[in-house]
Amino acid sequence: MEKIALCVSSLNGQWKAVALRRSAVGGQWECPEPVREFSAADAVIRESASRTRANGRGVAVVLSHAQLSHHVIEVPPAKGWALQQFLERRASSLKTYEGPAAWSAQPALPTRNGKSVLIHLCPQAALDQLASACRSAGLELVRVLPAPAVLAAQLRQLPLEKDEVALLAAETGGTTTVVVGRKDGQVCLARTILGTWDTHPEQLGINLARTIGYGEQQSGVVVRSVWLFGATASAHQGVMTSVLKRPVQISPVAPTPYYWAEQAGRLPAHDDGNLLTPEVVLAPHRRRLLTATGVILGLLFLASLGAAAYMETWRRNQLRALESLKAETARLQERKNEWQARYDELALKKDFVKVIKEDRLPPVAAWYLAYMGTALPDEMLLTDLRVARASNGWRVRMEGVMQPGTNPAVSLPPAQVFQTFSNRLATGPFRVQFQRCELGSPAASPAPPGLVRPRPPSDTNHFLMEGVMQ
Amino acid sequence: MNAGRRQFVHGVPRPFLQRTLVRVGMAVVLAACVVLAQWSYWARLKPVSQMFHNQTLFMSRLSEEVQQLQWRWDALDASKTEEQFEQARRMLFAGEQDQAGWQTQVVTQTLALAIEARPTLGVGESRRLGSNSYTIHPATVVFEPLPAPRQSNAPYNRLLLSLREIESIAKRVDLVELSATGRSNSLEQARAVFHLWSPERSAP
Repeated sequence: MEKIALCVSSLNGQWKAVALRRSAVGGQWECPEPVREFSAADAVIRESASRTRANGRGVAVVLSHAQLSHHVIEVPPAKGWALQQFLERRASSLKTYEGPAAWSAQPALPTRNGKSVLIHLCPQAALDQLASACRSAGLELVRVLPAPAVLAAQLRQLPLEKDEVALLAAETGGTTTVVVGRKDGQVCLARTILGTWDTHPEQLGINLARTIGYGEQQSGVVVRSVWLFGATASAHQGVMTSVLKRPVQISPVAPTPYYWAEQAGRLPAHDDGNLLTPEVVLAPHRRRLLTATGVILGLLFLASLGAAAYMETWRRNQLRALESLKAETARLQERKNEWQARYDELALKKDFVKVIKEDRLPPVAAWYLAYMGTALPDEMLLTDLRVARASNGWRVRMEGVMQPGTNPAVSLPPAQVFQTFSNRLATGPFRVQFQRCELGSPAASPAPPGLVRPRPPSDTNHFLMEGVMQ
Repeated sequence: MNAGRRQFVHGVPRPFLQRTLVRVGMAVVLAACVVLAQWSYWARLKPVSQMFHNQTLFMSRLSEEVQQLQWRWDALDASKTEEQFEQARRMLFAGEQDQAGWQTQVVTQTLALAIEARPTLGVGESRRLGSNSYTIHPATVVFEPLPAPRQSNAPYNRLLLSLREIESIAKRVDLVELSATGRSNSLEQARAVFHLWSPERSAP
């Protein structure tokens, strides 16, 4: 809410303004012309601010107006929005003019039937005009208090007993505003009476007596005292006492010329009867807050968009880089494959060379045949020799006959010669492992295909040797 | 107590409704900002960054492997292997003509040593050794010594010489079997089985 700087009392056309500076009253100004319509009040407001040298934008008004009415109504035991809706409906039904009504409510004394509130009604158009005039003057209307609300607050300052009900009347610009209530500020009746004690004291006294009677009848209370507030109130105390036939006292509150205007800024905000809704009062603040929040949100959104755009750009750059990386990777993969193929080809060739050149089978059979030329003793005649490659080495088969040596004088027995020969083969360079080694009449084995086997010359000295070379 | 005049929408004051809508709108905008930023990072940027990172790692590893393959390559060894490979390739029988040439050469060379050779070529058999496949044709050669002048070697020695001559032919020929029959001081007949190596089609 804007801080209140200019306080105005608009009491049935009487316009007074004071400036508030840190709760102290500053400049004062009273408009010489009556201000009855608010449609062209912007000039008056501007002048009020100028004359009082108000330092701020908030404007508070105490209002007493012909179309401002006050009603004490009974309310159901509801709270919150339900009560608000009820009051809205009642306000619509109570208003006596065309167009919507602005209203405010204050707690009131309970009636016989239950809870009640004091409701103030004012044409919304009048408030809108006042607010518009303030805005035109570069100010913000933050508070519009009905005059009875100020008087209800003054009840707290009267020397009343607890639960004592009193009537307080005050002169408000050609009318008399009256409240009936207790010291706690709760009222059971509020009304504005045409005329003042300065103009028609007897008539006013009668109206006050009727008001007291009506209040007592409606609320079931007894009004014990009557209090008058105003600059000329003391002059009419006697008249009022005689008309009302009960003690009439003067309010102890000092009736300064700008009392009503000052109260517009000084009255506590709680249950003050402000005719402006909190939405209207807080609207400028909310607008600023909304603007600030909107700006922050906008900045945040822009930052978010910027961040998203930055990340998207980064992503696209990375995608481009990724494409080039993939191309480079494909090129590297191709080179790797080429190199791998070269290595594979080399390995294949090495394997080929190994198989063809290095793993070539040695001519063991020919070597063995050559070895027989030196190893075979003279006493042995080899008639059949077979050397064949097998899975576990070389198979050897030798068949022949024993024969007399070249020098019979030193010749050894055939068995010994045979044994010596077989030992030589077993321990010689070929390391033949014999599986069959017989000297006698071995069974003839079939000749290999294509080879004509000679018939052995003698049967008694045959030998047969079969074995394997690793 | 509050002041009026208020408008109600379905029992809810219009200002409250407006404030609530504005706050909801702000919350939505705020949430949209957060969601946009998060979505941009987690759903858009992060996966691509991860892919980029993985691709970089993969490429780095690949590059290192290629470099290692390059460094490991021994050009001298490759050249030497190539030379040996060419030699080994020439040792294989290229085809039937080559095999027939070998048979002719065997007959010619043994005849010079007074040995009659009768080669017979068998049916080839496929064999896989290491990474290569070969076709191995068995060739059976029957040797019979021919009458020779006195001063010449004995048939046994001439057979050994013949075998050595055959071995010396620059071809991949394996002697896998040798049979010989004879009498006192004389070789009557010999039979040798050779394996003649040829490349298969897929061989290098």
